[in-house]
Amino acid sequence: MNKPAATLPPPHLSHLNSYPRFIWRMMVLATEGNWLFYAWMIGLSAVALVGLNAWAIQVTNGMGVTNMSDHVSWGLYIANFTFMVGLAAGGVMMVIPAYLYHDDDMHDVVIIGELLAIAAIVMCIGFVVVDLGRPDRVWHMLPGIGKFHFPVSMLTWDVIVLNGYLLINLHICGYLLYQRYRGRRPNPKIYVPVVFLSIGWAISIHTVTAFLYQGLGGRPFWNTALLAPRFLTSAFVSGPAFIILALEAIRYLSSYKVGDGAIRILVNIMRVTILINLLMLASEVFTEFYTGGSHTAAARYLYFGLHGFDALVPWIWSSIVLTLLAALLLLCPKVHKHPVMLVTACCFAFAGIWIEKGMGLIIPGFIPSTLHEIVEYTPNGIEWRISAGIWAAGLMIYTLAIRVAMPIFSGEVSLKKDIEDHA
Amino acid sequence: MTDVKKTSGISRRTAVKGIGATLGAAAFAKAIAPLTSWAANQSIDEFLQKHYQELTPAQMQKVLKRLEEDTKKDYGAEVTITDPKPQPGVKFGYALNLSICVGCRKCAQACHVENNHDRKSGNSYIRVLEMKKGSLDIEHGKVDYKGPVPKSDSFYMPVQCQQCDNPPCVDVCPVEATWKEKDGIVAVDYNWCIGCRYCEAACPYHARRFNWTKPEIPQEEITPVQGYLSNRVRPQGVMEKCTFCMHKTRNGELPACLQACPTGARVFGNLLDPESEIRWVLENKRVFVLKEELGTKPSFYYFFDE
Amino acid sequence: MKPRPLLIAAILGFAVVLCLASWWIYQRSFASFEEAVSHRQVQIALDTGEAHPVTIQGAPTTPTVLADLSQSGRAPTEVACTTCHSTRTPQLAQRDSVQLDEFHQGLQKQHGTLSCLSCHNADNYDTLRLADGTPVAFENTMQLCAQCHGPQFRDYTNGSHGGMNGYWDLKRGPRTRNACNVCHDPHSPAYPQLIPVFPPKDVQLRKQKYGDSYPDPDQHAH
Repeated sequence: MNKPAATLPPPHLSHLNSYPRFIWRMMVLATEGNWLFYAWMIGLSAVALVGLNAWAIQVTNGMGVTNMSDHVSWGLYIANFTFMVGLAAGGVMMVIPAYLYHDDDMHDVVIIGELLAIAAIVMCIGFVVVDLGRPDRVWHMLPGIGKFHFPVSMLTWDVIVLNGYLLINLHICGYLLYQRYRGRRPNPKIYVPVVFLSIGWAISIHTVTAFLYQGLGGRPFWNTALLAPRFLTSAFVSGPAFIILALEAIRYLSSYKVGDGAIRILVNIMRVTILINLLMLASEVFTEFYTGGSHTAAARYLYFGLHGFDALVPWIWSSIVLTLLAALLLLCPKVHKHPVMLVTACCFAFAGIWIEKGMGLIIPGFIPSTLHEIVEYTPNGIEWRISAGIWAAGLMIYTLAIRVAMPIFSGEVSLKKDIEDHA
Repeated sequence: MTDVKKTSGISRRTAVKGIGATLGAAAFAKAIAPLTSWAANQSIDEFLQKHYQELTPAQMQKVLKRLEEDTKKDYGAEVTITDPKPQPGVKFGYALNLSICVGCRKCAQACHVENNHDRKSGNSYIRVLEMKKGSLDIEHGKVDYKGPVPKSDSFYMPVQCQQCDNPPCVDVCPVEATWKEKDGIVAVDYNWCIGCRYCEAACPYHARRFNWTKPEIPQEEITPVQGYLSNRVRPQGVMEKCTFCMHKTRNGELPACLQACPTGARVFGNLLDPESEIRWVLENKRVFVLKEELGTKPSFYYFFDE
Repeated sequence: MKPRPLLIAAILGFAVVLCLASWWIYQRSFASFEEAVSHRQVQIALDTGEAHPVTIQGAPTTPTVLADLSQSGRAPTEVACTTCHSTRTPQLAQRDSVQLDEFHQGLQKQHGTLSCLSCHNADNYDTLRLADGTPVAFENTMQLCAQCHGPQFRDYTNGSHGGMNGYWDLKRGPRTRNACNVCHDPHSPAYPQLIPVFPPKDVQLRKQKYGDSYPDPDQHAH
């Protein structure tokens, strides 16, 4: 798949030789680091194993070990899945300035966003798998040997777009890193069309995921045309917020240079998207409460509680307060010059969107139930452990990916140096 | 921090990595240990079983035999599992007279017993709503009402699968584990469902149930006459739903909920037979369906006596 | 820009897939709609020859009364209604059950403004009478009920009133149905109140999981 570019001198190593070297070098890089890196990875492994153990218990004893019920049949897993899709889509907010507008600052760090997409999609798949009652039957979905209910089931669309997005980003990142490692200029013919495809594809993953819920007529809380646009705007808040946090972490924990330019662009994106998100929220809240009627029962339950049941009220108000505070902090003209303020704003925005797209969106879709019964839901220990495990696994993947990508991208590690070292 | 020099440090580092990897592998094995007891109960035949609509009659006979043996092994009960097919010229319909229903919930109980539901959760495909007279808004319904019934200011509305002609649950299933049979029943292949519960989210009538655990039923309480697509004991982690007691109705019998109804509020029959009771109700009573605005086209009708 | 043809090809391909998919979805939902509608118009020749009977069970038999014959030194005995009523003058105006003495004490009558002899036959107490005076056997009381409760009788004969058992398809098996008096006491026909069985346990289980802090659904302000 990787044709050498004609404008460059011929390679002194064939792909057959250099590609295994590249893979090996990445694996070596991934297992090396300072004590902080090891401590972080060991900590994450421990959490991931705790999650794995909880999942093994869940598969063996049935999903009755969770707090989900026939009334609230999706819980923390699908809440996290929905948020994760947004995070994956949010990575594209670095790709657009870098490739569409040829922003040089962004070009140096765009891989951070693309790697985030990979890690987030892997987490998405993880959250879907742990939500299955019969993970052993996943093969039933494979086209050909199983039955893939395409195109009628929106879930099949989601499977296609999520896996497609994963492959696209794996291709871009893998190709760019490999070429950098070989010390060659990447051939735009091979990756630029895919980059443009990834921009459209990023929009599609969150749109299709919104359609999963939006298309259900029996759930008025989700059955709104604003759902997909809101998904996208919130994704373009949480994605940049996480990337800013990652960039700041790289700045302080490693020797790599992260320019202010990239952070400034991301802050500017968040400034706009967070306000659009709040506007859409206001619009949705107005429609629900001004109209009234039984279709607004879920919104009443979510924001104010219904008939004495109010488990979600603290969640959603925390989300609104966090998002508002983040929006205010981001409005400060010099926010990108004050790392503490910036990190606080990003943490607030990230947490606010996590609640809004998760517990604040998935759970109230089920409360009250379609027969207007109110059965509440709070995640239990098993669900928290499994979710934490998947988050830990995702952070491990992201950390390793950055650990591998940064030295190769900055030229610190290359095929030439490796050959010289061996010689 | 990335420069790798060929010094003695390498071997020390490699050794530490090796120990770490070994410890990690041990911890991994420990973490997934609970799965061993689960894996022991899985059979390769069950794992590789094809979709219901792709099974040949001979394969189906084998499957039925295996399921009968499994029920004997797991529950100690001798059962007969068959796979009755839809009859030509039959499309099932159900109607419920809300003026007569007294809210005794005997239908829900009969469903629980007939369909081999989990005893602990008290599962049933039927939920009976107590509604205040003067409103058809189910927001004002209540399921855990107490007696004596009927109360003078209330009427009672049992809700179960509406066997929609345009079923949202069928559309959303990613693996076609649920589909509409020729006689109008929305069926589930319990051996094909992956348990994603998307259909449960899509159903506007709270008609679908998930097997959160392996059903617990005492041996002597298991209904021995079972159907592959209906009341056989379901495996853990799959969806299930009302099938209008397919194992009874496809053999001409009335469904269990109707037989249990003391007042005769329930009317069941063949929508394609102009002489049937159900057709008489549709033509002579002013019937309505639940949530008609959703376009699901239920085969389950409600009516009041004038 | 070089990659443009590739990009256009990708976009075109995506558009084609999207169009095909939407067409398929449209076809599917539309086809299912048409199928559902056309079903009702298809005339299917059904074998209407009914092989199995519908039995009405629980119709009353000719009643008797337990007569206290201690004054004549004999054990209490079931005697036919005519035993006493052949020698007594019918109380044509008797409407209220509290006026009953001797054998019929304690009988509750809550059946509109009917008098005893609206249904009981003063000429032969072992039978009942229709409104026009025609005697009718106790076994055929449904005829009597039907005089006033026409809509209920119509619904009953059409299978939408009164419990039943057995087969919906009479070609494959018999059906049994309840007579009116199985559910309705002729003297006080309103269906009695009862305690519902089988309360939904899943909601109770949720309450146990959440403990005492779980609000009581009974306190709903409806």
